[in-house]
Amino acid sequence: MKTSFCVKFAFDNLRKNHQIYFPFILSNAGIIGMMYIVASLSANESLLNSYHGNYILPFLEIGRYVIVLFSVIFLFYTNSFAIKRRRSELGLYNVLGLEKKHIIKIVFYENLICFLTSLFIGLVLGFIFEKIAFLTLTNLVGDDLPFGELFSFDAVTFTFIVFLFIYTLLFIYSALAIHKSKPLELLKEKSVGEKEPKAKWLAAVLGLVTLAAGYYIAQKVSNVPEAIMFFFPAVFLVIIGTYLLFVSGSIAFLKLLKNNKRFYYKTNHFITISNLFYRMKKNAVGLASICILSTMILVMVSSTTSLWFSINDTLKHLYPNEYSLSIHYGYDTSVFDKEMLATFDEYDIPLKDYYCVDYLDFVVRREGDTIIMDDDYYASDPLVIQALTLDNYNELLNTDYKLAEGEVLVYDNNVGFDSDKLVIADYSADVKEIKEGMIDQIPSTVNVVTAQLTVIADDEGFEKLFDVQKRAYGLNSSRIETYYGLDVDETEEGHYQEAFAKAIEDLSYEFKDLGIGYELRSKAYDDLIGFYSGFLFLGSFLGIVFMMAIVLIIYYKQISEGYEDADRFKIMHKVGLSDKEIHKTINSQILMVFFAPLLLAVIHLIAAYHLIDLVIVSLSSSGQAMFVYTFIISTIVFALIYCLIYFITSHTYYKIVTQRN
Amino acid sequence: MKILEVNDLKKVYTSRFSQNTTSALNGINFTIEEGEFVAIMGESGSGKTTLLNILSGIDTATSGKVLLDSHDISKIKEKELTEFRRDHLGFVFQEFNLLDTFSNRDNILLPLVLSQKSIEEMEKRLKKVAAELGITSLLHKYPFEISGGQRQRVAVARALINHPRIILADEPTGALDSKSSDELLNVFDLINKNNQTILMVTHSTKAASYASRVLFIKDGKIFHQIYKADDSNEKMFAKISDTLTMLTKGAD
Repeated sequence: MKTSFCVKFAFDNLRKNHQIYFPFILSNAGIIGMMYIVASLSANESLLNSYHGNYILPFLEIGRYVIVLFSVIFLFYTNSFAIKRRRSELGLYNVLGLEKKHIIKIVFYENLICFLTSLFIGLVLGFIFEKIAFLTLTNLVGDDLPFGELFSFDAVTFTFIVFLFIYTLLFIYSALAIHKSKPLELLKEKSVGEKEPKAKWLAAVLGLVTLAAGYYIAQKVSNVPEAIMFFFPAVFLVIIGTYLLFVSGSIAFLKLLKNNKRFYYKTNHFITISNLFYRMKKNAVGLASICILSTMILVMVSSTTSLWFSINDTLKHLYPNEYSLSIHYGYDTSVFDKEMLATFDEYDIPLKDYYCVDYLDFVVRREGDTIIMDDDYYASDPLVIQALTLDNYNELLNTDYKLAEGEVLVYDNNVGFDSDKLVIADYSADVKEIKEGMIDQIPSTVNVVTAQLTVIADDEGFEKLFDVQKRAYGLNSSRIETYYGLDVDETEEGHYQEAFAKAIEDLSYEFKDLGIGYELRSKAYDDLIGFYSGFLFLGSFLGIVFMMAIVLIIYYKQISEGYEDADRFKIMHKVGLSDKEIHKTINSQILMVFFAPLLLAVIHLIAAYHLIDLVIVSLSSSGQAMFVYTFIISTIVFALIYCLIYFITSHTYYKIVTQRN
Repeated sequence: MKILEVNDLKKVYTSRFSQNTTSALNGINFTIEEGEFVAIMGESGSGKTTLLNILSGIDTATSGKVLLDSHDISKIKEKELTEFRRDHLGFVFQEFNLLDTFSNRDNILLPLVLSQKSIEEMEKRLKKVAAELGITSLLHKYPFEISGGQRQRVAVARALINHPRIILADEPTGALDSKSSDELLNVFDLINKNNQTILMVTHSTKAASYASRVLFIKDGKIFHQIYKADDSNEKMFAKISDTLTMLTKGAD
């Protein structure tokens, strides 16, 4: 058969099936564009050479490979849908005299046209949106970078090769499917009636059990190592549970409703239930996938935004001051203080305020109410003990708190301490008062804000605590640190990084024995913002890609439902259902079918809240409050987009249904 | 007692883009008495389907009247029409029109569920009609699991279950083999003997020979009618054949 004829044939076929291929090409182009953008950004010189580039790059790389993997799955899904819908059409060609090799040749050209068109559109979209993506990314980290070489030939090649590979696989798959088929079967395919799906009770119960197990794990984790360890098992269980529930659970449930005659034989239940029965059988896998994708989007977007927004609080918690110095305890600080101020003056650092505090912290673990000190302190229920003297405390907070001998004041942060005696190994003290929280002026040494007790004791008690932990931990014991918190005016923060580094160099030279350590909050901010921005960018990027997949899955579902319903619609009309009634029942069915995944996704998310919250809290300190907001907002936004997609695609559905009448 | 009265029914189709008009019905007049089994015969394009559609309330006539139990069906409001059709008319189609998502039992019960009958009433009626049509053993099966003849009997059961005033059958034997056709016609005969009024549109001389009266339509008009009276089916068959021959010759 002539090539030109095949090409013409292929074009005609695509045009005839535009309801399938138009969205197919468009979504492919979208994914190609996205892939090009990440590939190109990860090769962007300007970004690579910037300070934050190092932090962002790994995320872009991850994004690139996730999209590759996702494209393979997604294209196979959509392609098999298209082939299935077109079976009888291809069968007809066979009957009319086209040999199978001719049909395969035509399909080859169809694939080629789809490939080239979507590659072209995708790359054009990629070029256009690359700038926006670049600006978004640099804005997130707060950099003002030049675009540099935005167009990347390597990225084009990469995208081209990946999609060439995927399309080759698709073609082989379609060719095999056509090769194996028999024309008569192809022609008849659609008219074969279907047996009522059997309720698989065991699978349904199993689905409930795995889902419950996943939820249970998510509720039960109590600390971060556990949360990280059990995250994937829990996710795995929930995914299995979701698929089982949609595939078997839904049918079992409908069967129950159907067996209840008084319920079933009611006008509005009758048609809905029996139609849902069939709809669920065909759509269960797709709906479960929508549910999983939706959950992923919501988790990614809400957690990454919450991290990003909480960055300043995180920093304030980890670094209470713009500059911080720590020196060994026991030195006469008045000499050091003087010299330090003089050096800063020398380098023109406009110091506004400073304070100095001696503190000690070490990790213990709890078993019930007893505090235990052994090497195994990460095993369960770890707890940080921070200690400072009463004098230091009063100075810091500018108060005049008083303690009797052997008394302590305790700050409780997520510990739930309520005893009137504090016992740590052979140290014991009477608790005068318990206050909530911790002392903000002292840096938190661990960023896991699970549990910390701050103990304010007199000098003697302070020494005693030091001794106790020194004996217990030996070489691993903590030293007392003298911490200097230094601040400049808020507007000047981040401006004196180099001067400060030089000043410290001078001081270190002068006070060799003090072991001066220092940290800059603005420097930490630069590191952290790079990391969090990369994270947020990846989260939203994949969110968009998954969203495109959801759109297409929903759209294809609506089309296939439309073609099937059109005939039923006609029959019901003849038998005595008014148009209005038909519209109403079909509408409510589709609503139920499409909003079930959304509902379950939100339930998943609520169940996962505790676990995700733990992980987020481990990465930031004030994430908790933030996460509630980002969680709620992203759920609402997602639900709105979802509804929008639903209404747009259901328009196509009604067009198909009414066309036939 | 008159059940159906058709008075000077006319239907003219105008195409949207041209001045041409086609008249499908050219003034049809006939009446059907309670308990009659009437067949309407005619060639393709003679206006049979248009007539049936108007009688069913699916289509509207350009002029003329259709009275069902002295109600003018063209005067029934759009909203009430569906309900009216459901309660007063029973339909049997060439292609059965059973829903593949329902079991046979549920297919038959559909009209009762729509008119919100009690479950006891449904069971009672179903039992009676299923026994009458000999389909009790098919009830739990699905339409695609049974033969064409059986499917059509299920469809008849669905038409009967609402106790319609009249059954409108559109080529009911059109998709059946001769054995199934015979069975179905015997079913029609049976329900007609139980005083069920039937109006059947058909191509088949055999099918028409079961009717008590046959109307012939040609060019949108009633051309002729013959009564069966006490004739046997065979005699009726011969009479119809003769009439058809005469009709065709007359056209030449």
